[in-house]
Amino acid sequence: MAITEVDEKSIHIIKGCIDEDRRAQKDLYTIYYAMSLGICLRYANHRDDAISILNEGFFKVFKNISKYDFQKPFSVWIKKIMTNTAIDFYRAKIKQGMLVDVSMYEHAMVEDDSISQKLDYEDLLAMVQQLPPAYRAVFNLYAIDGYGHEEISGMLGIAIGTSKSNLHKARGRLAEMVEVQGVKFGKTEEKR
Amino acid sequence: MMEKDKNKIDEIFKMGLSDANFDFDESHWQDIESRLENEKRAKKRKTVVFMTLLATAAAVLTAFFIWNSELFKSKNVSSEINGASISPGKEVLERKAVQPKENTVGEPIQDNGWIAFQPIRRTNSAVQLPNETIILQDILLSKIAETNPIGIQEGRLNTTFTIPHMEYNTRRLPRFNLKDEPVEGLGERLAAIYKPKESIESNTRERERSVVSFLAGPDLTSVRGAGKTSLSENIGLAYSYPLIKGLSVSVGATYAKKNYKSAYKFYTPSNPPEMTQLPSNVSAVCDVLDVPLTANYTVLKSKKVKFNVSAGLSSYFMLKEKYTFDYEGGGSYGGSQKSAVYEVSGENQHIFGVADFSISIEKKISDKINIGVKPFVKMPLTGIGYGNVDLESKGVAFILGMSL
Repeated sequence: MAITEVDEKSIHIIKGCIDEDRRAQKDLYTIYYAMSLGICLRYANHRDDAISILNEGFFKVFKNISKYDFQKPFSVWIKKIMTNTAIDFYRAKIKQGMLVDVSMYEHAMVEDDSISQKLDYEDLLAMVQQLPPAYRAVFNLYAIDGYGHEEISGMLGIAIGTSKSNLHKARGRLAEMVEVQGVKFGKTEEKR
Repeated sequence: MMEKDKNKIDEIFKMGLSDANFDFDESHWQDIESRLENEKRAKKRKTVVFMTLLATAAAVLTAFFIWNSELFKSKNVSSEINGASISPGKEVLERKAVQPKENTVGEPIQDNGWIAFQPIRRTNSAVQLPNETIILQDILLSKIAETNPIGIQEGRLNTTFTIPHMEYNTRRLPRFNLKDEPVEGLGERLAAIYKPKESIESNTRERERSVVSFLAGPDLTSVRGAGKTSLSENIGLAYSYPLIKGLSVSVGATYAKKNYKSAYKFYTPSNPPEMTQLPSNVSAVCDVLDVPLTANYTVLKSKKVKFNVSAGLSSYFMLKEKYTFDYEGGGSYGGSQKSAVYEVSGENQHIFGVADFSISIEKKISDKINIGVKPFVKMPLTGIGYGNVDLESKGVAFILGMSL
């Protein structure tokens, strides 16, 4: 169960982490494991990358925990670190967003035929992970994490127009994938 | 795509992906835990390196200031002594009793023609020696003047004395009766009381000589935390150069055959091979060229025995590394084969990667030859070898040294 507010127990754990107490660090890791892994999986190509991002993110959390402002929700702070770590992980690919390998996407579409018709978490995650990193990052930041295009442009180091364009293309591809699963949407305008 | 479709897509993914639920995987924690441990160790190593460098810098600075202050003193003394001359205007003929500067033994000072000297220091100081020297010269001249007033009158007007830096003998100086003692022989007596410092300095320089030492001995090598130690051998040469009295620097080259065993979990190779099963244990045999650079301080010294403490940094040059990986139940290398060997030559160097601490007791057996024992500890500041293991050595070296 995640800590939803900075209560006394959380403060105790965070202070333990500041003192580099290994038990406190493990407690914190255990508590935020699921939430953080969820974020990392959304931004990653696959599970192995997600685990790498997760531990890189937690390493940053432990290294910088003394900078945490106790007045703010800890979960927001840790979410931001995980998101930024994931973006850093794919930064080079995100910047080369237009040069992504489309064949990978097409191959994934073929694989989609075998997945369950029910859109559960695993299905949705698989669809998001099939997006090229540049599209996926913008879609995650905008549609799920609630950032605006201006912020996304700053975070990813891309133009606002590129951010909007990538979002549009990401939605188009996701719509196609969802359509394959039986949910109908209006025809996408994206030309591939 | 219609706006409502856009929103629907966003909504489907936002709702569907927000409720992630995963079981905690202990192995993921173990990965980050080992990374945190490595980080902690690296931090400790940095602290040790920093402290060692700080201590070395402090030692060097201290040595530098001590050395310079000695030089400074010597220069002052030399200049003052060289500038000390008997001035023509000085009243040298007046008979006077020269008072000691301090009556340290509490003896009464008599003003009956006796001149009592009570030297209170082993070495003349920059300020006082010239005065005392001048006084002594005055005494001599006054005595000569008594016997040959004309000659001294002429002599003192034309003579300037340059007196070398002198040092007292430790024994108490005698008393002179300037009335009765003949002038002849007084100079010789004074010369016997004083020794020119030059000769003392040259003796000191002789004692502090550079030394070439042959070292050999065993050590117990282990991977920190593994709890297993293995016997290793070392043989090498070292050269010590004296900086100042009691402080020297040494550089050397030691060939070491390092044997060590540990569980594979202590290995963190930079480029691990792809393995379907990790080895359980590793036995290593490594040929290492150890190049230490140390500062040595002589804590105690008698005529024949001296006791040194040393600290410094060693560089390890891994000449050849041979690792035998043992697998439980045969592992990925086949059912019957239970181990695999990996060899690497000349690929790993660790410049100042090991902290080096030792003490040594040396006994002089002749003017040039000394023997001794040197217990030492070598602590890793960085991962050593292919496996980046924390390799420690604790041993003793036997020394045969030759002064140059």
